[in-house]
Amino acid sequence: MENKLSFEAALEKLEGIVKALESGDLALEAAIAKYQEGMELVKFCHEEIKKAENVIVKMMKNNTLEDFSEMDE
Amino acid sequence: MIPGDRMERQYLTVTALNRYLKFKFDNDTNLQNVLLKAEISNFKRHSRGHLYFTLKDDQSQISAVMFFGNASKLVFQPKEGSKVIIEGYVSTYETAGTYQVYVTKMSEAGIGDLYQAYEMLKTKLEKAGLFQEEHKKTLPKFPKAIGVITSPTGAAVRDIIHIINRRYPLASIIIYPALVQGVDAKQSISDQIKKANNDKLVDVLIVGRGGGSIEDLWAFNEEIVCQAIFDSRIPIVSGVGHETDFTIADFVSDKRAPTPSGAAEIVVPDQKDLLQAIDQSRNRVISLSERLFQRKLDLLNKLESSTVFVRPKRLLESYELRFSAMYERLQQQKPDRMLLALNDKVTAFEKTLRIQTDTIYKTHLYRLVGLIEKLELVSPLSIMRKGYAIVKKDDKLVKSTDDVSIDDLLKLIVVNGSIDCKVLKIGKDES
Repeated sequence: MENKLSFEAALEKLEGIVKALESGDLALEAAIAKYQEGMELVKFCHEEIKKAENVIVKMMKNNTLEDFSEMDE
Repeated sequence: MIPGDRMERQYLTVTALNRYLKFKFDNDTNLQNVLLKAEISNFKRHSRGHLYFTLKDDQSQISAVMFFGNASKLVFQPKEGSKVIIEGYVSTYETAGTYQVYVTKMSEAGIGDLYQAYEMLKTKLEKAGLFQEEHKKTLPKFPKAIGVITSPTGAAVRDIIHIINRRYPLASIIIYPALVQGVDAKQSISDQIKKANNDKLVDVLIVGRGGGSIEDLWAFNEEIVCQAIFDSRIPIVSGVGHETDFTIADFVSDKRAPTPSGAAEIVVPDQKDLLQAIDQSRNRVISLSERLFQRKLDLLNKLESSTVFVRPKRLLESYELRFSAMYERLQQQKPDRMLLALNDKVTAFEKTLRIQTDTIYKTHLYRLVGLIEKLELVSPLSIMRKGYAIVKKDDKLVKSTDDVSIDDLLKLIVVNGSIDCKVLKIGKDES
């Protein structure tokens, strides 16, 4: 799996694989390749979601990005 | 009137009359809930904080009092000549025999002008086409960075962060702090919209603030803010005030949310839904693959069970019958030599037939065996579940010890993923 794959692209690819398999006229080798790729994408998407624990919040102040704490008053 | 009459009539005291009048006033629902638009005159502030004044228009006037409890909540300084709208009730002051308005709420009538300004700007921008659907930008389905233009200290920003964090922690948030009320708010908000567009760091913007009075939300009804929203190349979701507040900014935005929290829910998908969709895709991939493999297997099974493979002899049966019949007929005539010759011919024919059938059968069978082997080799699903793995080196199948050397990197593909490993030792079976 390419490292640069975005979550969105992975989801789109996964949809494409489901569609290809749905068409049903794949050669055996191609079907297996799709199956494996699909499983890898599922794993990747799950990991991406798990990986993101907390949203990163910054504040644009004086033209620089600062960490933002909700306790700021 | 004659004195005798007077004796028989009931005469009220003034107090009783005033009490009766008070009773009438206080039981009239119209008088208990009065909304007035008027101008203040004879304004007096009592030392205890009560306000006494006269409410008037160009023809009439009425006394009014606002007690300290209500007066202390005023957000403006009423004075002589102030145009106000008030809420209150009418009752009597028994001791003086006068009636007056008891004011509970009062605000400056200029608010009415705000509504007028609202309608004017809305009409103007609508005519200019700023609300048209064709200008609405599509929101990204999976935003990486979300810009939030609002006060960095209000409840709104906390709600937005909280909701995005819960729904879609994959995103990041950049807050563009802005004044969201007061005279400088419109400039501050529109400046930040422009800044976010120049920075190009976010792929969607939330512009909004929490609930408040119409004056508090006014910046979102200013042309400069609406124009900045319209000019933004980044899609904007507005979330201003409460569900019932419709600002003009809402009409210009690419999407209006009822509240700041609602805006946060609109800009990001919910990870719960996503996980569900991913699992659905996963199940589809598995069931579709299995169906596909099963169909190929069924095809093989059908070929395998066709008559020609199961009972090749049946092909010969009709010839056997014909031959037997002929043989009997010939035997009855007993032309022995002819019979022998014929018998030889038939035997030879039968032999050829057998050989040919056998050849056809074997050819098919070999092809079939080849196909089955191939299928088993490439169809890992059922086998892999039992713990077998496909071994690959540089994406090529490893079929023999000859395919690998020490220190080669191999990939084991198992049913739910893959394992990378390295060759430590090669042991060949004797063949």
